[in-house]
Amino acid sequence: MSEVTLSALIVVHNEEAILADCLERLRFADEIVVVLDKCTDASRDIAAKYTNRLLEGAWDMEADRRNAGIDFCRGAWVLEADADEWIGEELAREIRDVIEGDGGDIFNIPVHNHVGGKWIRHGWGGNFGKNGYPGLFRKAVKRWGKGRLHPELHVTGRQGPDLENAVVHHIDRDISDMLRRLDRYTTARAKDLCDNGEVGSFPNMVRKIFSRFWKCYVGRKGYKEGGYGIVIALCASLYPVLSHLKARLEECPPPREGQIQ
Amino acid sequence: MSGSGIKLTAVISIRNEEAQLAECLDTLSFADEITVLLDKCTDGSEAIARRYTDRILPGNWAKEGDRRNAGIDFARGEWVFEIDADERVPAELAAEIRRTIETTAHDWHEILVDNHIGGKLVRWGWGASYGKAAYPGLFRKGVKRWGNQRVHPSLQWSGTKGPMLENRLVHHVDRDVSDMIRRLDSYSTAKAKDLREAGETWGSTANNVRRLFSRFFKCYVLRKGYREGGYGFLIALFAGLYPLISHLKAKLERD
Repeated sequence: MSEVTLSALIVVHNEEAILADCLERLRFADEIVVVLDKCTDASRDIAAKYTNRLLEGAWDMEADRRNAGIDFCRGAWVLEADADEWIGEELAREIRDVIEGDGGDIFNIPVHNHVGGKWIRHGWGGNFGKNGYPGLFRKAVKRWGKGRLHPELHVTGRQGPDLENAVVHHIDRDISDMLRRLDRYTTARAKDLCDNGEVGSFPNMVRKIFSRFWKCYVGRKGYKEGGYGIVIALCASLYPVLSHLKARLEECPPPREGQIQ
Repeated sequence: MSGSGIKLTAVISIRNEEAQLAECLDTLSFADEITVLLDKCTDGSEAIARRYTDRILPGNWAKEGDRRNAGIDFARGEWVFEIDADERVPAELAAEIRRTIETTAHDWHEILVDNHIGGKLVRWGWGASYGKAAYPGLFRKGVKRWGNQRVHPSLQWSGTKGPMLENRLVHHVDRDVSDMIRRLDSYSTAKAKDLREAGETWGSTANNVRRLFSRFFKCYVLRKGYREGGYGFLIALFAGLYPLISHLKAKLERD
């Protein structure tokens, strides 16, 4: 039996609409591993067309399900992607080249975020969209830590240079998708804030609206993207205050009234 | 009196509201007739409605205004009281409505609304198309017509407006902050459709950014949203964002 050099890993929760497009672009890996978290749609059937390396289960914390996926991989190297991300041919070739060489143990992959099929190049950040992620690594060097959303990372190996080719990330179809993502992210973040006892102060979160908007819209040049640049900066800027208020008003037991201001 | 001899009809138009419909209809027994308009309902709403009335109008309406007018046309009462599935009529308001239609010389009256979020009364800060503090929900049949917009249709009146009723309607407007965000999303999507249909985008982006601040100020300061703490801030924020998000959806996206 041949050694598995590269495992492509994706973690899925009910992604039947987009899963095949993602898996189709992972065929270059030696094995594909699909983690199916609480899937009730056809995701499993679709995944089974591409691989027999399926890990089904129910995980509450993002880190646990991602770590379970990494553990399940048999490759010396792991490539992590999400169901809404596409690995193009050039990036695939570059990945194969990089793991043949000795440039490092973990590599950052740039991300091109697309909204409604259009590449939105500028303005991402502030927990609302990533410009790159450490997605290619030797199996043992990366562990996910605590946090429901954007968990901490524990990395032990040598950091290699960033890859040149980018993942195409179909992050949102439209502005409604952005608002839904803002809602989801802030609910998860509110739970983390309660767990960690770091709900913070309301005036501070209001200040962050302006500093984050400036960072995304001006510092990261969101203004070059027109209307979507405004929406991205708005969502990134509202993320702390919405998380804070959801935590304080709803998520943290017991409810503490009258302490907002 | 109209020919039917019915004095007061409560009109409710719904779409898939099985979870809260019974609780609303329970508060409408003060009316002489209840009519329920079922818009594209696929859940158990109709079965629930039939426990309360046989005046049921199922159908499929694309626009809020058309659907509301259909409900009013279907009512047989001399007076119409409009209510939504997430609203409740306290006994004091029911008694006041009955008293009013017996004695008033006017044709329509506004009713104050107490909005609740997650069961908590949030009295201050509402307005600017994101929540109503009062609505013209009690009127003689024939004096009120809705316009044909998808969201917040315009109103046409004939007849004279009477004084505001004193007792308040209870409105369970949102369960939580997520509901508020979803409402901002659905309102702005519907508004963007109306704008596109009219071939416009609600002015310039710069102007809608200015409206964000003026509307926030209006809700948070002038309408005293600050008294409500966090929810007051959120109401003002979403009321402020509504024109800008609607504008950008209309400008950047297609149906």
